[in-house]
Amino acid sequence: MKFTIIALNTFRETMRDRILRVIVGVSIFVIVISKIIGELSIGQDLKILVDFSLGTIDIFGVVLCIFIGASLIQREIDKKTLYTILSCPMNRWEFIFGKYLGMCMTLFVSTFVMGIFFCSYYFLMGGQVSLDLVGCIVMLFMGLMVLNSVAILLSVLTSSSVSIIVTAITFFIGRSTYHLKAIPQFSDSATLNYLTNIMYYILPNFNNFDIKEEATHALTIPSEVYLYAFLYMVVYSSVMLYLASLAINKRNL
Amino acid sequence: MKTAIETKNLTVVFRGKWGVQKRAVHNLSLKVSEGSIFGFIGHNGAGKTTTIKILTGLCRPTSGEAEIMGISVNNVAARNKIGFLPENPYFYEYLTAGESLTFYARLRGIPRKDINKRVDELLDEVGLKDAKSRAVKGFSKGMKQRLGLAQAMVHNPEIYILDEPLSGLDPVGRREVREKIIELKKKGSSIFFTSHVLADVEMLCDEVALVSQGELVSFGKIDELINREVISVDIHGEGFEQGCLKKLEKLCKHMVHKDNTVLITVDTEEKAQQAKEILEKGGGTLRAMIPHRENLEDFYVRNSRGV
Ligand SMILES: Nc1ncnc2c1ncn2[C@@H]1O[C@H](COP(=O)(O)OP(=O)(O)O)[C@@H](O)[C@H]1O
Ligand SMILES: [Mg+2]
Repeated sequence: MKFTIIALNTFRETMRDRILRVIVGVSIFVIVISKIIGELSIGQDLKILVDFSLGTIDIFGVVLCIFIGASLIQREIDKKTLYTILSCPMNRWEFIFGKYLGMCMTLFVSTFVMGIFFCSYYFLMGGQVSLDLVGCIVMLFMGLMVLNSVAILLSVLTSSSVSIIVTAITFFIGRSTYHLKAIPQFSDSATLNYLTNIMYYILPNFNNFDIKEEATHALTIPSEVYLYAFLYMVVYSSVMLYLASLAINKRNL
Repeated sequence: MKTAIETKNLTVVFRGKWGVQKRAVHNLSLKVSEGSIFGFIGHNGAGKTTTIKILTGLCRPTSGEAEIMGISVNNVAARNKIGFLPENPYFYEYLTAGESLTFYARLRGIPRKDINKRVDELLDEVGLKDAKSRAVKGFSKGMKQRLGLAQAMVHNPEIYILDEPLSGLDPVGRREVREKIIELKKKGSSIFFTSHVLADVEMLCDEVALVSQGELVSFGKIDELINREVISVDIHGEGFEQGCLKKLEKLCKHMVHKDNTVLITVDTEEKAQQAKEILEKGGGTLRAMIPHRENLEDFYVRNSRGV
């Protein structure tokens, strides 16, 4: 299984990246000060701590996808480190899949570290760590896996700077697909409607992974929501990785 | 003799920016016999690296075929047979030399229990033993080249494909790599390497192919191709009587003199002998006599006619 070797090495590569330590450090700092900000609004401080912390863990995971994931493949092509690797008996899809898995491992570790820190802090401050709160973090991680697959595809298709920008845009639009769907209500332009419809179906829908509202209001979340999110993650990522493999197979390195 | 590498009518056309097509390799047919050292020579941009990229599966041919020990290069199994040293090899800079080789050993499917031993052996063999736990980031060009060789040797491949293994190294480094190539041949491997310096090829190869603008210009046993005759001789003399100068001047193609030293160039060894006699009769001393043989430029000029 050549891809596991690539994955473990990518994990090591990204874990040694300075950006990762900076991001985890900064996010822990943000979680800590969110409590202090929360104290300004009497009685709401724990809710604000949850809001802030989950948002921070999410955003910093996104930043990792954008700044590490989106240049993961192109960097290997530019720096020619790929030459000695692909001259080993290995299919190119195995390389792509390994890179993806390795980056997911890093996302997992960073989300896990920030999540553990947040839950312990929340508990110490008198909050109750419910299963759904943990579920919220798991969902958020699955969303990151989807974004990461988009980043990998883009990093095969374009230069690092373009894929960084497009990954970021994908994230912001994917976050607001509900608004995208709503555009036709306000516009008569057929082409615009057509385009927004296409975008709605092509771009990842990160709302599937967003249960922060429900979790912070202590509503119970049906298990179908998790199941659907998981299946969505598997299918969407597989399609992205398949396209990335097709694209790199065609490329002359 | 069995064939290690074979290309049949290989053509590679790159589609560059704005759809401009660039033909890097054209209709190239080659055969490399097993157990030989094969030199692939040509100027920069001749298509050497592109041919190597086809053999290593990094590029796809536009048309034609290439095989490694009878296995098509489109089949990843062909990669089992080769060890590849790219031109200016690049490695992950965040890894140490030891970690790098461990990574390649795993990709090459060396059993886990043998990896540490194999990595130490390789580091020792290329003289990087002391650099085992140093990050590749701080490596000199020569050290990267050695790590590149070690990486290619991980699985004791039957065929080595080396892209410009001698360029950019200091004289000591060049000698080491040359010796390594000869050693690999002695162990029974075939070596395919590129160079733009004819002397490298002359010294090492059994067979050569010369490419120019992506096309094969000549191909065969080195002795049959390269003119071994001396094409010019440089003579350096001093302390002679001024009277000799006139006689020398008639003999030579080219002469420079200053005070009582002279540097002349003649075009045959016979004339060189005559010049030497003149010099010695005139009471001078012969400081040096340097014969020159055909270089890549001359070889090109001679072989490119009619192409
Ligand atoms: N990816 C590419 N896209 C377009 N042109 C290329 C590409 N790679 C090489 N070339 C062109 O193909 C020709 C052969 O290049 P190369 O094989 O690297 O030569 P060599 O190794 O003999 O110096 C050169 O003119 C080079 O500019
Ligand atoms: Mg080259």
